[in-house]
Amino acid sequence: MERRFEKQEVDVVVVGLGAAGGVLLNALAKAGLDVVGIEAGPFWDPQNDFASDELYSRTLAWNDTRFTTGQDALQFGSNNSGRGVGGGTVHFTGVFYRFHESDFRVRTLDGVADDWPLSYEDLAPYYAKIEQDIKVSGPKEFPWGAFRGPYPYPEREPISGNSQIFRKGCAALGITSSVAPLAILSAPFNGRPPCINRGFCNQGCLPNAKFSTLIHYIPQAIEAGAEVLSDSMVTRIVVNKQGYATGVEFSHDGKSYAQKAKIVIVSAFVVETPRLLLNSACFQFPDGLANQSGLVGKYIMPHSGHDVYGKFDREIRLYKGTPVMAVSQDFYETDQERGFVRGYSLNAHGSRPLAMASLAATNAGLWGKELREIMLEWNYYARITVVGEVLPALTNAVTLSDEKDEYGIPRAQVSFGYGENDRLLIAHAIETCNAILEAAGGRRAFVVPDSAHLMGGCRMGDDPAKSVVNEFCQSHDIPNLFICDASVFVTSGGANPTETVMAIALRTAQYIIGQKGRI
Amino acid sequence: MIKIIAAHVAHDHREEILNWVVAHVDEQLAKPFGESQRKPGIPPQKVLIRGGLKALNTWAKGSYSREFLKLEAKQQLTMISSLQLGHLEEIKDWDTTLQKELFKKLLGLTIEAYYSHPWVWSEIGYGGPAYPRGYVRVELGIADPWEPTREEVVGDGTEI
Ligand SMILES: Cc1cc2nc3c(=O)[nH]c(=O)nc-3n(C[C@H](O)[C@H](O)[C@H](O)COP(=O)(O)OP(=O)(O)OC[C@H]3O[C@@H](n4cnc5c(N)ncnc54)[C@H](O)[C@@H]3O)c2cc1C
Ligand code: SF4
Repeated sequence: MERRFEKQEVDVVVVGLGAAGGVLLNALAKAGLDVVGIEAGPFWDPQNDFASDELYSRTLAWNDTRFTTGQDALQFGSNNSGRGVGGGTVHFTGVFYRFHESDFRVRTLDGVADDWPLSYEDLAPYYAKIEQDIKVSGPKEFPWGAFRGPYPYPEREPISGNSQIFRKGCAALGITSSVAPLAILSAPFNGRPPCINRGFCNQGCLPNAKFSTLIHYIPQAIEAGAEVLSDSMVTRIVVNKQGYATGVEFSHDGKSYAQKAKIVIVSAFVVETPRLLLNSACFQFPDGLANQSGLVGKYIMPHSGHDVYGKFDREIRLYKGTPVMAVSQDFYETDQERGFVRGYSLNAHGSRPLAMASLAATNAGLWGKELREIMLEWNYYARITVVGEVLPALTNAVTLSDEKDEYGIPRAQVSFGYGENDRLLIAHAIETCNAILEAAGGRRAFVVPDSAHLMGGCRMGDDPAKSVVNEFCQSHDIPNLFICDASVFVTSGGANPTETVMAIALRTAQYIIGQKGRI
Repeated sequence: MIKIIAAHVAHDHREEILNWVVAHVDEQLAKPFGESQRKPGIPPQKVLIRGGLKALNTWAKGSYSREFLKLEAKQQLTMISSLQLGHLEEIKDWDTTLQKELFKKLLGLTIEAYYSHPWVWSEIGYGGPAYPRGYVRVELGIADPWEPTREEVVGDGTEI
C-alpha cells in the first residue's frame, strides 16, 4: 500500500473516520498538523457504490459478528454502526439536533446519572460552527432548547405526507411541532444539489444532497494534506515504557503495518473503541488502555427507538420524501407528574418496505398471513419514531468475548437491558404517539420495539476514578491518547446525537491545536 | 425445505419469488463475513440453519411420523408457529432459546429477501428507489405520475 508517512512520526493519527473522525481530521489538517486517518472500511464512491437496493446497501454497515446479550439485547449491523470512510454519517438519517442545556446537568437537576464536565454553553459555538459549515436546513424559529434558530438554510418544503399527518395530529392535541432541522440541503451548496426526496438516506445518498463526512470534511482534509488509509483495521494501540502512546498497528489486505504518532485519537464508535482499548492491554496497563477507572466499555446507552404505526383510510406513502421531516420535543424535559425523569423527541419517520417488514418480523414477531396483510396495505400506515433518553447503567457494557475474529482480536460482547425509568418513559412515549395518530384521524395499529444510536462506553468527567476522559476527550491515564466519538457521552439525551458528537470533536480539535505540540 | 418454510413465513406460493428468497438465503450462508450479531451460546447462522433443518425433520417424524416436506401445509404451519414460541419438544441441542433463534433467523432472511422483490414492490404500491428522478410530489394525496397504485392481488379480498 502506498503511504506518505510510513517512516515518519506524524503529529496525530485518527482511528476511525466517521462523524467525529472526519471533523477531527479536517480541523487538524487545516491547522497545519501532519495527520493520518485510518479507517477499517472502504473509501466509498457514492455514484458507484451506493445502490438503490435496500438489501445490498446493508454492506454500508459494520457487519462483523458481535455477541449480544442482556434482557434487551441490542441489534447491530445496519441498525447502528457504519463502516467505511464517513462511518455512520453515510447511512444516517440526517436528523440534526442540538442537545438541551439540561442534558449536561442531569445529576444536578434530576438526581440521577451524572453531570457532564462541560456545559451547553461550552458547546454552543461549536454547534453553530458545524451548522454553518454544512448548511443545516431548518426552521426560522425552533420551539425548544437554548437555540431557537434560524438555521443557515431554509427549512425543507414541502414536507412528506407522513410528516403532514404528524403535524396535524399534534396541532389537534395542542402539542407543538416543527419542521425538523436536517443535515440535508434545501438549496444548492458547494456543487451539491438540494434533496430530491428519494427517501433513501439510510442507504447512502446518491445525489450527495445529504451531508456525510465522506463528502464534506474528509475531501477537505485530504486537500489540506491529511492522509487517509482505508480498508485498514487498527488492531492495537502501542504504548512505550513511560506509559505514552507511540502509534498504532493496523492490518491491510492481510498484512500488518504500523503508524507512529505523537498523539493517538480513537474515534471508532461505541463498540469498537472500547474493544480496541481493551485489546491493547500491555505490561503497564494489564486491564486495557485508559482503563484505570475500570470504566472502559461501561455505561453504554442506546436511545429507545420504538416505531408506532397508525392506520389511515387514505394513502400516506411512507416511502416518499426524506424519512424525517417533522419533530416534537414537547416531552423532552423532566415532568415530575409523569412518574419518570427525563424525556424524548418524537420524529415523524418514513420507511421503506424492507425495513418496515423486517423490523415488524424480527422485533414484533409478525409473519405469515398477518404480516402479508399489513404490508399489502402499507401505503395506508403512518409512523412516528420515539427517540427516548436511556439512563446510564454500569451493567450495560461492552466486554471482550473468548472468540476471536479474523484479525485475532476477541469479538466484542455487548450486554444491555432497560431500567425501570426507561420502561416508564417508553410506555408514555408510545401512548403519546398513539394519541397523535388518532387525533390525525388514524387508528392504533402496532408498535415495533426498537433502539437506535449508541452512546457511552468511555464517558467523560472530571474525576479520573469515575470517568475515562476529561472534557477535551483526553484520557486521564495516558496524556497523548484521546478518545473522541459517541462513546464519551455521559448521558444520552432525548435527541439524535450526531450533531453533539461533531461539536465535541471540533472542540477537541481546537484544544489539541491550542496546545501547540505540548501534549 | 427453505422454500416451503419461506412460503409459510411470507404467505406466498409464487415459485419465482420463492426461488429468489432461497437464492438469497444460500448467498447469506455462503458469504465469508459476519452476521452483525449473535447471542452468546448460539452457533453461527450457517450451523444454526443447517442443523435446524435437520432438527425440523426429527420433530416432524416425532409428531407425525413423516418428514417435514411430506406434512400437510397445516401441520407445517403448526410446527413453524411452535418453533417461534420455542414450544417444540426439547431434543438434543435444541432447547427453547435455540428454537426461537432458529425461527428468528429464518424469518429475518426470508422477509428481507421477499420484500426486496420487484413484484412484491409494485404489488404493495411502492414506487421503488426513484433515482435519478426523485419524488417531486411528496405531500398527502398526490402521487408522481409514474408511481404505481396498488395492484389487484389475487385472492386477497381487500379492495383497492
Ligand atoms: C440507520 C442509522 C440512522 C441514523 N440516523 C441518525 C440521525 O438521523 N441523526 C443523528 O444524529 N444520528 C443518527 N445516527 C447515528 C450516527 O450514525 C452516529 O451517532 C454517528 O455516526 C456516531 O459517530 P462516531 O464518530 O462516534 O462513529 P461512526 O460514525 O460510527 O464512525 C466510526 C468509524 O470507525 C471505524 N472503525 C471502527 N473500528 C475501527 C478500527 N479498529 N480501525 C479503523 N477504523 C475503525 C468504523 O468503520 C467507522 O467508520 C444514525 C445511525 C444509523 C445506523
Ligand atoms: S431523501 Fe434526499 S437526502 Fe435522503 S437520500 Fe434522498 S436525496 Fe438524499
